[in-house]
Amino acid sequence: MTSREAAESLSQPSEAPSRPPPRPNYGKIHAKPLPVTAYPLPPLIPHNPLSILHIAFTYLYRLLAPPSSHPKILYQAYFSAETRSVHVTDETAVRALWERGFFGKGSLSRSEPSWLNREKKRRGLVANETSEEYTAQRRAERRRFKQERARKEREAIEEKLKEERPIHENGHLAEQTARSRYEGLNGGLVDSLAESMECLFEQQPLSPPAPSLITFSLSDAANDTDAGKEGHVPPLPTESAASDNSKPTEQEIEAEAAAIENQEHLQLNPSEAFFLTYALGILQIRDRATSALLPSETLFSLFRRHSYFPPCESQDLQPDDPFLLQYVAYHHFRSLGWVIRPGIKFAVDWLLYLRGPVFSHAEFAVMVLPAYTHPHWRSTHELQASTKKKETKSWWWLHCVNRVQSQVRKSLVICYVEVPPPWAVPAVIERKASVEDIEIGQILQKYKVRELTLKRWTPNRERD
Amino acid sequence: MADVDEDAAIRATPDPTDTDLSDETQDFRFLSTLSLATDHPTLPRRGEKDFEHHGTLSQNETLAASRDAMHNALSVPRTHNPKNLIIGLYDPSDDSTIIEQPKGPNLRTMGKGDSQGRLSLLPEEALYLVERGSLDLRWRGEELEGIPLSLQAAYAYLLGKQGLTLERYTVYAGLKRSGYVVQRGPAWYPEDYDKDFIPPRELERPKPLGLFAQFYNSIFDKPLPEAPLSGPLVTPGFYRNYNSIYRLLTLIPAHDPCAPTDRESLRSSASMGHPTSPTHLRIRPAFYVWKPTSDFKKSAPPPPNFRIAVINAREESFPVLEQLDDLLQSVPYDPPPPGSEGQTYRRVKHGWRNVLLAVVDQGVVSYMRVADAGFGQEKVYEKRGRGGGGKRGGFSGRGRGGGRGRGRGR
Repeated sequence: MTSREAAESLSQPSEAPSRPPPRPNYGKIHAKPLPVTAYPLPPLIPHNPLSILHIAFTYLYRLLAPPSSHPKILYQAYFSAETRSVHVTDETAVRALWERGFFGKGSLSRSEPSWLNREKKRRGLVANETSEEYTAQRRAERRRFKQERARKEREAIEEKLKEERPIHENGHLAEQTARSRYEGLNGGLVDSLAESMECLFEQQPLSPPAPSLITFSLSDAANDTDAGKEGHVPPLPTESAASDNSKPTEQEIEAEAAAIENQEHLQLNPSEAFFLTYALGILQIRDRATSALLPSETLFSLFRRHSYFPPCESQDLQPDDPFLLQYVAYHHFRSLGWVIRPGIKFAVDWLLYLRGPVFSHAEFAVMVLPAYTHPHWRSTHELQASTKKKETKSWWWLHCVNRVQSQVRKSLVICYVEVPPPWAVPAVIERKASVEDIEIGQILQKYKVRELTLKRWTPNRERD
Repeated sequence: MADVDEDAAIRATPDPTDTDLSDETQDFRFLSTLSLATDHPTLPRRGEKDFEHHGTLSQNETLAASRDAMHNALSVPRTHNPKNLIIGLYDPSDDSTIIEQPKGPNLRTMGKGDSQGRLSLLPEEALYLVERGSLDLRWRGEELEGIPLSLQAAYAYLLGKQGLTLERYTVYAGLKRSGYVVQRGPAWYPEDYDKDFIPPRELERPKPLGLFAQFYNSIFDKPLPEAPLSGPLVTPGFYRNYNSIYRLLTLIPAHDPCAPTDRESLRSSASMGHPTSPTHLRIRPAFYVWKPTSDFKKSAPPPPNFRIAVINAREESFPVLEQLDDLLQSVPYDPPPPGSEGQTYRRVKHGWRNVLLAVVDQGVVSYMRVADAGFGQEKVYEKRGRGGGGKRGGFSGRGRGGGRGRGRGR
């Protein structure tokens, strides 16, 4: 329970009307773990014999007219070579992919595509709270808390100095030096900023800020910043117009909200897009220029080529292409039921969520490493040298990664992907026409995954 | 002692997201103080700092008092208490140190006794005791019998003997100073490396389903068709539950921690000059470590609490999979504790086999616990199916629900 929630529950009885709207029921919104649909039977309730009838009815009904796991029209997307990602613009597809399995991210948002909501909120059309705003609010609260703490500390020191004034042996002189030193330390820019903030929060400043040129200009600047803080952006003309006239009717608000064009799209990274296309078969990816449908086989080599920069030629593809390694790890964890999302913010390849980012923090941070266990990779001297170069990671690298994870309290998982020899992974594959043709699945089955968890161990804390 | 609760100290610092400026519009106007041509340009300050000089007498006094305490502690003369003095004779012919009259609590967990009541110490044990000031080391030989050896002489003679590298000694001494009981592990005997292979124990199979459940499943769970490998793996159709969809998605082979990996291939290829031998050093635990609270008996040591391999960070890179696999198979099978079923986080973190790596960089030791995670053993989707969808955070063991806490990124 966060402090905000606690405060909320405390203030509930007295200030019911000003309470922010309740959080959406995430359990219901994100009940389905994948964008494909399964149709479970209704639960059997022993003390309610009618539930058996319900089960029987549903069973028979579905026997006669089985519903499909996939929507009639598959979700559409196109590949953007510039951003090396796959874009989904259709609103239903975006919602479905986000809500069921947390695929992709909004191009203008932190994760969930929430730009439209934020825009409506900014224009005063809805009162919902997006996660970005929540973060901003939390940061402002914390900043205020820190200022208050700093002020108290300063007061304590001031008090102590006053107390000690008669004790100083050299009397006046010693006190002067101490004071000037203290002021030298505290008269810096941050303090003047803090003081001007304090004025804003209507707190008694301890001493008037030193009247210097810098301080004045800066505190003015600070005032400006704070005045603009309410809205982040200057108020729009619509708002002032609305306040001049009578209150806009609900229809007007709705019309205006509907008129806002959603400028955001969902952005899938190659692994996510390939999983949705190849594994779930729920997404159709098209070429941006020609709108031609790209089959899984084409996408497979396309993503492999684009995992290099600049994109490499088809004949240069290797079994340890970055896309292949990442996808193998992605598919492995997805098929076990984890919600797996890119982990670049935490210096790793993937983050693992048990149910999804709205429910709990990611517990595991996955770093994907290739493992060249097949004898081929060390069969000649040249191969030995190149393999050694590819697989060598220094201890400093590991400690960097691990240090970041302990800061954000995640567990580091090293995910080794054992790379098959090149002849097992053809550069170009075709749609299976004859028995000899290799399929994508057969290639992916040549890889093998092994995970190790790493954690720092401290002798002083394991003693008992 | 530098790393006393380092992690805790880090956690006590403000929220890392707090300093994450990427999401905010940054204001660089504060930099104008730097560019202004003043006589005393000051650096911009960010945040409050502890121990900043604020000119109060009490602060000065505290500082002086702690300095004095430090000086006093250092200036106390260190002497051998004649009552506890132990004399050891160093024999350069076999690098052993013999103590004729062993006494004191230190020796209870060190050395090897013989029938005449004498105790023979390994080089690291002798060096540790000399450094600690508990042992008076003397030379034993034809000439110069009984000359005392200084600490420098002890280092010079004992390091490098019987495979005692400086790294190993650093780890040994550090653990002993923390109070652990430390004994040599298999890393000292490279000729026996292939004998260490410890097979996993047989697992109990999951209980068969009850009659009713079997009946229910036979009616409602049709066997699924094979997933077409050319994709999509999940063909459009009618599925009764997500478990069957996830079963169709299973494609990538994963390591099974309950089954031994193919070591034959490793060994034969080692003779061909690939994995584990010349290109990669084989790693083995150098020390078996017992907690200070354990009932350790030299004659019949209990299974160790930890197994620690020592690695020189400057000479060795982070081990590759073959090395780690070879190492993990040499330590006993240690599956997640019974009763942890359903606690996915705990089980995965505990792992199926585990070992500690002590990475030594020029005298600084960093310990890492490596565990064979076995994610493949934890079918997360099965738990989710049982959780009923609407339950919030029920199986995470943390009960965070929708709460957004501090101190952790998403």
